Order: sequence, then structure tokens, then C-alpha cells
Amino acid sequence: MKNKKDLSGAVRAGQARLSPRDYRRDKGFAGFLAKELDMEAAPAAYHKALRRAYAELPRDMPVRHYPLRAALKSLATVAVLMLVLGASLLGVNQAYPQLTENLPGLGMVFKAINGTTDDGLPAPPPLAKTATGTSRGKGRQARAMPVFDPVEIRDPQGLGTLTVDNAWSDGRQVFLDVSLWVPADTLATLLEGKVEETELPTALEFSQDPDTSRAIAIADASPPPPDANDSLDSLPGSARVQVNGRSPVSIQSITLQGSPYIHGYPDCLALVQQDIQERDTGDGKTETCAHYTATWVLDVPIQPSDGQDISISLDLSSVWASYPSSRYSEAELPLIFTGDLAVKIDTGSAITIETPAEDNHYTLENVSCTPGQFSASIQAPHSGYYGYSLLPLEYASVPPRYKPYGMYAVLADKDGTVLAQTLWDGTDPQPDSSGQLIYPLHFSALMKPLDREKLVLTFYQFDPEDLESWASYGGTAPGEAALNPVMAQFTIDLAEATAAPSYTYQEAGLTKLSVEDCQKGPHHPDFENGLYVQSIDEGSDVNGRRTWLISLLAQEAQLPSIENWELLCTSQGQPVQTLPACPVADESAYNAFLPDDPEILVLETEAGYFWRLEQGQQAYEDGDYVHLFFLVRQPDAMALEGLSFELVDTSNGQTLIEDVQAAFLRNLTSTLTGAFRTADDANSNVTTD
Amino acid sequence: MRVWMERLVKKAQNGDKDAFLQLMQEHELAMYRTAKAILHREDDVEDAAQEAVCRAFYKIGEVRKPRAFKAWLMRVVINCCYDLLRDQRGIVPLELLPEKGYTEEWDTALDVRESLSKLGENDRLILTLYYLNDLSVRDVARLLGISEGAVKQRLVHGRKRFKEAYETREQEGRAVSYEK
Repeated sequence: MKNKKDLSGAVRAGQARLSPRDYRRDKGFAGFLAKELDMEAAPAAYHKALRRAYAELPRDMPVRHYPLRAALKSLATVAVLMLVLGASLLGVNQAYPQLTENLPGLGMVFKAINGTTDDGLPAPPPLAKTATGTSRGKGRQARAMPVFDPVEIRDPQGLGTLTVDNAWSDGRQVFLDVSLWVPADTLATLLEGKVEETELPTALEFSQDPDTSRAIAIADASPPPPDANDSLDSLPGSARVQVNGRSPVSIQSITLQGSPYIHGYPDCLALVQQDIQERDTGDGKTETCAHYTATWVLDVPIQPSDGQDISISLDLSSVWASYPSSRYSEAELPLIFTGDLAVKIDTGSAITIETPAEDNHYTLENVSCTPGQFSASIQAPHSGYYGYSLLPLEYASVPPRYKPYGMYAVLADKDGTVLAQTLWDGTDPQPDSSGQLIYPLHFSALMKPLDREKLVLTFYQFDPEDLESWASYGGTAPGEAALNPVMAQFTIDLAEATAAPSYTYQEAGLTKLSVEDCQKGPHHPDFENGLYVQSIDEGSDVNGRRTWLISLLAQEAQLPSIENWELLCTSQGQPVQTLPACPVADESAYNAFLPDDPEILVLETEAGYFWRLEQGQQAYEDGDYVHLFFLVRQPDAMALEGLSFELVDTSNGQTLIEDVQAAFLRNLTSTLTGAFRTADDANSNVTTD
Repeated sequence: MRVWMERLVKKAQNGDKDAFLQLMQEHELAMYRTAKAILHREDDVEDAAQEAVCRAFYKIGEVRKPRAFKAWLMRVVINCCYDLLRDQRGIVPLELLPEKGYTEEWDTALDVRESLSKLGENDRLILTLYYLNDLSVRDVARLLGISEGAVKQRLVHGRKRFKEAYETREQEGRAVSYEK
């Protein structure tokens, strides 16, 4: 291992001299800057000007042209003609087999089709296929993937070791299972003064960024030329990978979390920290190392045939230490790995399953699988939208009205390790022949290449990404409660090449919702006193003062008494302040505009704001609600511990919502687990299998 | 939200005008801030933003990486601002972006407004893109065609200048704290 003195030289070879601490992002400074630059909000005239610009745009957008698509269309036309010709000949063959069998060139083909042997006698009929039922798919089986001997590449200064633990290729892509070991104290020394984080980096990226000197050359022109982006995009990177002597068209890094590495730039060679553990140094000693892993997937520029070798050349330098949770903290490290390896092409590990499998109106078809890739087509029924669930708007990655249920497929191995997940791709449902709305989905995933026995593909009601946000916000970690109902599940047996419905989700305490049930509303707990707490969000204003934004849905019947409502804030059981509401339809009852949006009228008091939001009503399709907001400001004297909010009607002293925070958590958990359904509903609607 | 944006970009590229309008509405404030950092006058900001919407409408098909849409749109806005200045004055009165030896003396600012008035166009733009429009150092560097080191240097100096001005004001009891 290099000593500290040697390492400081290596550090000097690096680039970073400025500490990220000096330009870190923080809300306070951003708020201050926005205020001083007079950019907190755009004036109404600006928004109006843009409305005018939108109105003047042509009705139709220009669409990208695809020369390749046009070529494929021509090819498809030729293919259709060939098919028609072939079908006609097949028809003739049925009626006059002797005629088609004597056609020059094609005669042998028809002889084979008709099973005519050289002696002129018909061949025996094929054995009948085993009946698998409509819910099970079956296809061609695979052989085991070839064995790969690991290749170890050491940094010339002894700063770390990169190992290609496994490699596999189907001739189109090469999969490299890579691990990187760097002594923890070496890494800490290299990072000293470069980043403000005290932990070791959670990811490392071999940068393919444009060459800095070229960027500077472009920058000599001020303002930069309009095509500066294009020029920069075409510049070579500093990390080089070659496959059969050529640069791969695309590079992807798959992390152990089963998803492509998308922090920063997806076309980088990234590694994610797996753990920190003792490692044998080879001389009978051990040292504490940071262990990073990933699967790199490289396109093969020229496709050789089965059994041939593919040569890989790695010339990796300019490693960036990265902290995805605070993506602006990064530092360049002087690690260098140079080496070559060969991978044998294997096309025999692939399986295909032609017969469709069906579960709960979900149809799985066209399954193809290799040790490193899974793909399938799915016909998924339309089961409704998030909007039916009254989930908080700001925690869904897509506005709830447009986000459908049941589109969220997770691929796992038989032990439950998630290999990949796919999200709704934005396509709209199409009516099938019976008028039912169907989403044609395609699931395609790259995986760490392994010989696996089984894969499990599960479709969930909610997007797992959203669920994680909701669950952490609501104080319920995934796993603590049975969150996210299942819509369909298939197990793909790779040894038998079959696909069939399965029920492993029950082991996790999850239930399955029938599509018919999901298509019915409502999908949330009942309103209490005509009110529903949708969310409570803690934040801070530009001055750093704590705020709480409470989103409330109210039924029309509640509104006549709204002028008597007050939000009572208590701290440690003692009343601290009250925030009044006002008649929502009476514009004269409001006294200000919302600072962030000058078009929204609010009732402003010392304690905060109250307003009604006109937009967003259409997000909730199962009822007619009024969307109300209270924004509570933290008074100077308010203690933050033991803080609670209660909504009361001062005209009769009635408590409308006793504990706003508790009501929100109750609603959220109930919605995400499906627990709001009554026993009768559950018995009649929920498929328990 | 990023995934949603990328889908909107793809939809817009495939001819979905509603998706395009949603994208524009999502970025209205970012476009405003970028244009304001260069142009100052509200009328000019409106003109540049309108032109940027129009150009984005016709050029969105050229965006190769949907995740880079925001940086691309800011580039469009900046180009519109430069074009407007060219039309108005015949030249673009922006200071050059010195890449090395950035040793300008930062005098002790006495007032934030005074400090702002001395802040160069490009410094203001970089601070706006980074702190207010939430672009990364890499994106800002690519957008302006300068090195990441130059962006970082300018962020540090810009922040320092504001901080000095701000702290001076704070000592006079006129400001609120921004440092947590």
C-alpha cells in the first residue's frame, strides 16, 4: 500500500482544488439570491405573455422523421407481399401437393412440409403436445452458461484492484460483472479536502466527460456558439473501452439494486458501494477495503457467431467519487486500470416461451430470456387511476389523474432479490375487440448474468418509487406493513421454459386485487365529518422559518360553516396560535395573494395562509371535492416538539379533525394497504387465491 | 419527477402538443430566471421567453437525451436573449469569460444592490442556473461551453461576494440569515 506522502502526490495529480463546501446548495442562500435578484416569482404579465405564445403555436407539432423507420416500412411491405405469396402457395399445396412439390427450387420445401419421404410415402404425424392450459406458457429450454475465469487488473500505484468476476455475451452485448476494491484509508486520503462528506463515496464513475481543454477552446468565443452542446457531445471521453477493437455504441451500468445507474450520466461506467470489509492482501495480512460492484453492459459493434471470442480492452482513468444522495459533491480520483480480456459468445443459454400465460386479465407473452436479459410483452388491463385514491399530489412522480394502477412490474429471482423493475411508459390504453381498455406493455431488463432457476414477474397496483416516498413520509417503512397490493404475478421456470401464475406475494403478506374490484371506486378511506386530510408537508420559507402545508379535501355539504373553522396549533398540549378559514367562494373574504403564485387569493394572518385551489379538482374522479390548504408558519415562541394541529368549528365547538397529522397517516396507510375496504368488500372483491 | 419529464419530452417529440405545453409550463419560472439574469428589462424577458417557446416547439425533436431537456431549453433561452441584445445594440455587451487567472479583486461590498450591479452578466447567469434553476455544475459547464472548474470558481466567487455584501447588511441589522 502507498503511504500518505506518496498519495499526496497522487492527489495533486487530480483536479479539484475548490471545496464543494464553498459553493454548496442550500435553501437559505437560494432564497436570498432569488430575492436579491428579484427572481422569486415571475410577474403575471410574463405568464400572460407565454399564454399568448402558446396560443399562437400551430395546432400540430412537427414530428421527428425516422429514415430507418421508412426503410423498415418498405421492408415490411415486401415481407407482407412475400407472406401473401407464401400463403397462396400453401393453399395450392393443400389442394395439389404434387404440383407444389415439383416447383423448381421450392419443391423440396413443400416436400418437407407435406412430410413426403423420398420413397413417396407420407411421414407419421407428430406427437400431440402436452396440454398446458391457457394460464401456462411453455417454450424452448436452454443450456447452462459457459464458465468464465476472473480477470484481475491492478492500479499501477497500488491504489486499488478491479476484478472482472464474470463475463458473458450473446454476441450482441457483453456483460461484465465488475468489482473494485480500494483500501478505505487510501480512499479517505485521496478525498481529503475535496468533498465535505465524511463517509466514503457511495458510487464511483469512470468519467467519459469531454476533454476539458477542448471545452475551454470552445469557451474562447463569448457568447458560446449555438452548437456548443453538439460539439461537446461529440468529444471523446477520458475512459476508454473497446470491444473487438471498436468503441461500443452504448454502455450501461447495472447496479445490484436491479436498476440502471442513472445518477449523473447513464453512459458512464459506474460502480456502487456494496460494503466495507476486510480483504486478504495476499501476504497473510488483511486490510479494510471499500468494495464497489456493478454489471457493465457493452454493445458489440460487430456481431460474431456462437463460440467465437470477443476481445475487450479497458483503459480506465479519471474516476469520479460520487455521492448520489447529494449529487453536487464529487471529486476526481487518480485511479487507473488498464487490461484486456476475452469473452466467448454463447447463444445456447437463451430460452423463449411462445404460449401466453394469463393471470387476473394480465397476459404474458413473447417471453425471451438469457442469463443477462429478460424481455416479454404484456397485455395489461386498465384498472383506474391514482386519482381515485386521493393520494398526495406532490409525492407522485406523475399527476395522479394520469397515472394508472397496475402498470408496475418488478422482476425478481426465486429468493426475492429484485433484478429489475419497469414503470409505466406513458402509453395510453387501447380498446380491445371487446371494448376493454388494454395497455400493451413491453418489459425489457438487463441483469447480472447468472444461471438462474426461476424468475418472478409481479405487477403492483402502485409505482414502487412513489410508494417509497409515501411510505417514508407516512412513517411506515416498506416491509413493516403489507403495502402495495398485487395485480398479477407470473413465475418463469427457466429450466422447464414455462410461465405460469404464482402466489409468492402472499408470503410477504400482500393481497391481490381483482381487476374488476380495482375498476370500482372509491380507493380511499371514508371522509370524516365530510373532510379528508390528504397530506401534511413540513418545509421552510425563504427566511428559514419552519412551515406546515396541510392539504384538505372537503365535501360541499361542509362548506356553509367554513367561516367558523379554525386550525388550532398546540405545542406540548398548550394552544399556541390559530389559523382561520374563510368562505371559499367570497373573494372579498381574502386579503392577499399567495407569494409563490400571484393568481391565488389567500386569507393571510399572522399564523399563515388559508386558500382554496381551483386547479387540481379534476385529479379526483370519484367525487366532487373542494381542495383547501392551510399553510402554517412557525411562530417564534413555538416549540417544535409535541406539535399538533386540530381543526375546530368555533360556532358550536365541534372538533372536525382531532389530530391532522394522525388523520393523514391513517388515510395514507389505509390506502396503500387496501385496508380501507370493509370486510364485505374484501370478501366479494379481493382475490385471495 | 425527472422520469415524468423525460416521458413528456418523448411524447412532445412524437407530436403530442399537450405534452409540450406541459413541459413549457413546468419550466416557465426557470426560463424567466435565466432570461432575467441576462436581460433585466421585463419586456425583453417576455420577448425572449416567447421566442424560446417558439424555437423549442420546432426544435424539440433535436433533443437527443430527454434527461438533458432542461439544460437544452436553458440554452435556447440564452440564445434568444443574445439574439435580442444583438438586434437591439448590434453587439452583445457581455464580459468575456476569463478561464484562467481569475484574479479580479473583489472589493469589500457595502451593499447587496451595489454588489449586484458589479456582478458580471455571466456570473449572475451561472449563479442563477446553479442555485435557482438547479442545474448541476456539469450541466452549467456544458451549457455555457466552459470548464467545470471555471463554473466552480465563479460559483465560489459569486457566493462569496453575496455573502460579504449580505453580512455587511446583516451587521447593520437590515437582513435575515441565510446560513444555517
